[in-house]
Amino acid sequence: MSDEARWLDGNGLAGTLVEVFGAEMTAVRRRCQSCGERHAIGSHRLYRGAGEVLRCPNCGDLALRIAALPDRHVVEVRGTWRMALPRD
Amino acid sequence: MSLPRAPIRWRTVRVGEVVAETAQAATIVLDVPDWPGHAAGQHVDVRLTADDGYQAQRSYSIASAPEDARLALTVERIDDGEVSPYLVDEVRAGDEFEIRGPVGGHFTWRVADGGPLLLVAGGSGLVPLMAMLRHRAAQDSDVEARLLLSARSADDVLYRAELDRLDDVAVHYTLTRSRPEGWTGYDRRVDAEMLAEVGPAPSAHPLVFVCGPTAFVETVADGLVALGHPPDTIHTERFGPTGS
Amino acid sequence: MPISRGFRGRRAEVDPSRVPPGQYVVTDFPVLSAGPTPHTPLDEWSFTISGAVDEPVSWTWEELLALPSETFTVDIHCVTKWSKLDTSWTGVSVDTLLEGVTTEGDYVTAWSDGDYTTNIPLEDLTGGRAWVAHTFDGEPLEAEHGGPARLLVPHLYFWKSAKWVRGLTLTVDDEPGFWEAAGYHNYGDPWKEQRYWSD
Repeated sequence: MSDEARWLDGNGLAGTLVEVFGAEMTAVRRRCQSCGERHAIGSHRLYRGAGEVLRCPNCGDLALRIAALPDRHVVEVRGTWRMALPRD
Repeated sequence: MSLPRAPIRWRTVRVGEVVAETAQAATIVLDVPDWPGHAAGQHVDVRLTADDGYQAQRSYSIASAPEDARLALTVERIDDGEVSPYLVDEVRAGDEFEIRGPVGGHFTWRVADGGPLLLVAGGSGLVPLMAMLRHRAAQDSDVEARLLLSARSADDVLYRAELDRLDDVAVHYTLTRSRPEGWTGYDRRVDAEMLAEVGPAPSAHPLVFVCGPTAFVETVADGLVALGHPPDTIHTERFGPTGS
Repeated sequence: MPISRGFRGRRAEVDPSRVPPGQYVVTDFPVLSAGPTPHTPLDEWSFTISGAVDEPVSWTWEELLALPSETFTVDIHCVTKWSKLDTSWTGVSVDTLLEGVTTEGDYVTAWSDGDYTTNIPLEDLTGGRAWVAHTFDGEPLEAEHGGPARLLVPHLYFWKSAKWVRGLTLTVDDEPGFWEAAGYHNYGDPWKEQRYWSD
């Protein structure tokens, strides 16, 4: 219970995700590689350490890891993400 | 209808006006060149830069409706905060900072999404839900809407006068720390019984939006699920101590 | 980049020679983490040194507390740019834990409850430069700050001071840990501002 205060919704990562992917990502649904459940990115659990981490809201396994370097984002994506990215 | 394509870079904005809301909160009205528009419920990331280059970044919900001419953020001062005391007490017209957004497609409501709507707010969690109500009013929508707002006292209620003028929205208050003389409303933390009384029932298939501090959102979401609301109809946005 | 007039943030004024490049001194103790706070009961807790060693060795919580410990004051530096000066800890020196351990490995992977790991050259954990710390500011280390025990390696960025540490795995090859594999510098010297791969 004391841990509950330490994570935010994936909504809190929306700005970074827009910068990284060029699209609004919080409604994207991800199927977890560990437990198989599908949840919107906005419902995943956001942790902030050195970089930012998203975890499956059901099993806690890693969904996304992002490091913001001065000239690039280093991004590791896990699970199956179904994304619709707009075209101009 | 898809969301407007969001700008993906930080942009400089200028403060047009600062309006005190309560003793703890202020609305900052911004001049944003080429603002692409937003959906009610979205937020922006705000970045401040000190004159020695030090930066701090926080997220704030957009208070203004998509129909409003100018973008507005409402910020509540956190006592020990690093950014909110500056934004509430120090900022004035003409000041500049950076924003990135709008962002947050998961916690949005448009009139076309329908209802009935149940909005549950803890303190400054009211901000994005107010944007939804303002959007609803601007569209002259008759989607059924209810708001349950938890605040410490009557003086802490944001947008009180405006809420009182919403005659087609059922607004319920619970004041948890102190109440004015003659108060007949709720006086305890939100619980499943209160949520059941405020309604609507799960059989009405409401869209539910809950926003506030993490513990508040957890309790409310658990209560709604216990009443039978399907979890995927409950949209949540948590303010936590990790920087938002 | 526009300057936000009058914004200062919550920072202390300190002797600049104690502050590595790009850092700001804070007086609170920010909590950052890559995952949920574990809650291993102390009667199930153990600390293990294993991997490229002749013989693994392990301590229970009571056994760890029975080892000689030190109380010391150090500055800590987080890669997210905050530094906290004069922090007081009590813990067991990693030198003490490595006594009697024979190894061919030159590297260590520190691992914690959950999935967190971090890699450190063995020599950076010796010579009085690293501890398994269980007490902060005279009180048992709080769970959100890594309690019951965390690794403490103050001469490197604080992500190397693994919270909720449960063991050290000696390795022959250097194996990047959780953040090192994800964009952060493999070594992490704050005085050389080694934050990322690109540094």
